[in-house]
Amino acid sequence: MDLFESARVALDALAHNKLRSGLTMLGIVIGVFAVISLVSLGHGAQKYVAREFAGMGSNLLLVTPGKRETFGGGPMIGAQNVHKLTLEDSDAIGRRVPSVSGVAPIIFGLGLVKIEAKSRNCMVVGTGAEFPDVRNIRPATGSFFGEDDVDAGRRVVVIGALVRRELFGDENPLGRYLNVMGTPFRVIGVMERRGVSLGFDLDDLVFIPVSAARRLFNTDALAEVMVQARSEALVDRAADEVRALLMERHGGVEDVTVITQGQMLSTLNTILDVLTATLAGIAGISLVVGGIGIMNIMLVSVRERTREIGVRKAIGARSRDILVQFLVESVVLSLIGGAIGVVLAFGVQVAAHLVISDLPIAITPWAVTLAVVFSAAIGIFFGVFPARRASRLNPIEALRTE
Amino acid sequence: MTGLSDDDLSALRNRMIGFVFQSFNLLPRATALENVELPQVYAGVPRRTRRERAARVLELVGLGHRMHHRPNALSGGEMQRVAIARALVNDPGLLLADEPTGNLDSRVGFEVLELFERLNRERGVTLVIVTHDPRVAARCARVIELLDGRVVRDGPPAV
Repeated sequence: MDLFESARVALDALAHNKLRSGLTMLGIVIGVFAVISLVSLGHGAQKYVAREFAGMGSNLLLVTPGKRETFGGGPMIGAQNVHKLTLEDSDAIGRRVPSVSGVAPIIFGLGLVKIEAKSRNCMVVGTGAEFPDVRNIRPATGSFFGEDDVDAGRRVVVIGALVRRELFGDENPLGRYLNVMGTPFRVIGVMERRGVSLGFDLDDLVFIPVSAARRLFNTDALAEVMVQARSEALVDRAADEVRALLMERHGGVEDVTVITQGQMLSTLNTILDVLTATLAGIAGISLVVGGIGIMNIMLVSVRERTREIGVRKAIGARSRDILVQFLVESVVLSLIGGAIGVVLAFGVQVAAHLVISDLPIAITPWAVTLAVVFSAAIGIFFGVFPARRASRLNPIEALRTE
Repeated sequence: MTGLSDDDLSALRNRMIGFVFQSFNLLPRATALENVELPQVYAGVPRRTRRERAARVLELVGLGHRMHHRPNALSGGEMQRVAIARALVNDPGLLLADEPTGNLDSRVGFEVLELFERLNRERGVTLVIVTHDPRVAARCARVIELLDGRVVRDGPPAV
């Protein structure tokens, strides 16, 4: 009996017991759907993170005070620092490391920003003139402050799009004086809209020159320094040079952490990979349960059709023919279930994408291949035992059963 | 024969021997034609050839007009004739029939026996029939009587 013939017989047998076949298939449908959806969710999250990182600027290094062995988010709160990271360190990086094209020292704090009766609590960021280049964000109106503003410590401020809308509405903010934490600053620019990036609303910030911020916050310690390397190839070299320079400036102690954008991304990806694998593993359990359902139904089916098996053997079916017949039946069952699961997962993702457009569609070909191969494998694995049982029936005894 | 492998035994049942049962043993979800095709499926006969041959054998047993009926739409005599067609389709030399008339009333059983005799005469098929019915035995050329598993008589039918 060829495979085509077997498939026809299998479909016929499955169609005869529609409800039973459907319910058995449902186990596989749910399993495959769960595996694909969760793997895709993990990939979607990775795509999202990669996109956010790309929007942050390119070839970045982040220098934070304190030495840490592991890479990941920002500095730990309350970490003991041997040396502060100062504006002088930041300037030295810009002047003395040739592989660096831009440096943005960062001080930030939460502060009250007021104009007339309106006020808003937002993040006040003190930084340098190169910040827009380093961080890849431009002013939409007016301009960012320049080197001279930073050197002179001028009280000028560039506000985020959200701050502008909340405090100024439709009025032109340029030239107006904004009270930042009790000190008046002249508004010279409004940044372009960026929205929330990695849980941080870039539109809800106000930027002031780092020199002015030092006085405002009454500290000369920087929270971090963002450094941009000249090219992607120079990122690792820049990191080494920055580390060496700061070590030299800090008396031979390596008390800063330099992480590259790539390291941050790969750390996050590692976390997401583990998360995805765990979720897929849990979903895989439901696939195994579905497989057990198939085995169960196939065993019932073999018992019910003992007489049919006897007849087939009596008229010349070999044991192998019977084995293949039942194996094909279970594989067809699981493959159809798998296909429905794939289609369902795809449909749900398209629907989710329509509702939340931020969620990228991430049905990867390998996830689909994996699901199909896996469901076929489950059909074979859980079908072999019932099929062997069927093929080993003695035709005389099989014909005698009622 | 006891030394043959499982596959060889299957081939033997497929090509050399046709089986006819008391309770017909047709596949309920297959049509008469499909039931008769089945032994050829296992013999590896291509689809078209086996269609034609099955149809021809069904004509031979007088069921040319009922080829596309399922067993539950056929009478007992018709079902037995489908079963005989199935047993014949691979041209075996020997037909083993286990109480072939046991589930049929005597008139239909008589028709089945006539069919057997015709097959024996025209196609040279050897028939071995197991029966309790002396009237069936009376029509055979040789009768072996068994009692409690022992041969008690072997010879031409007693008149």
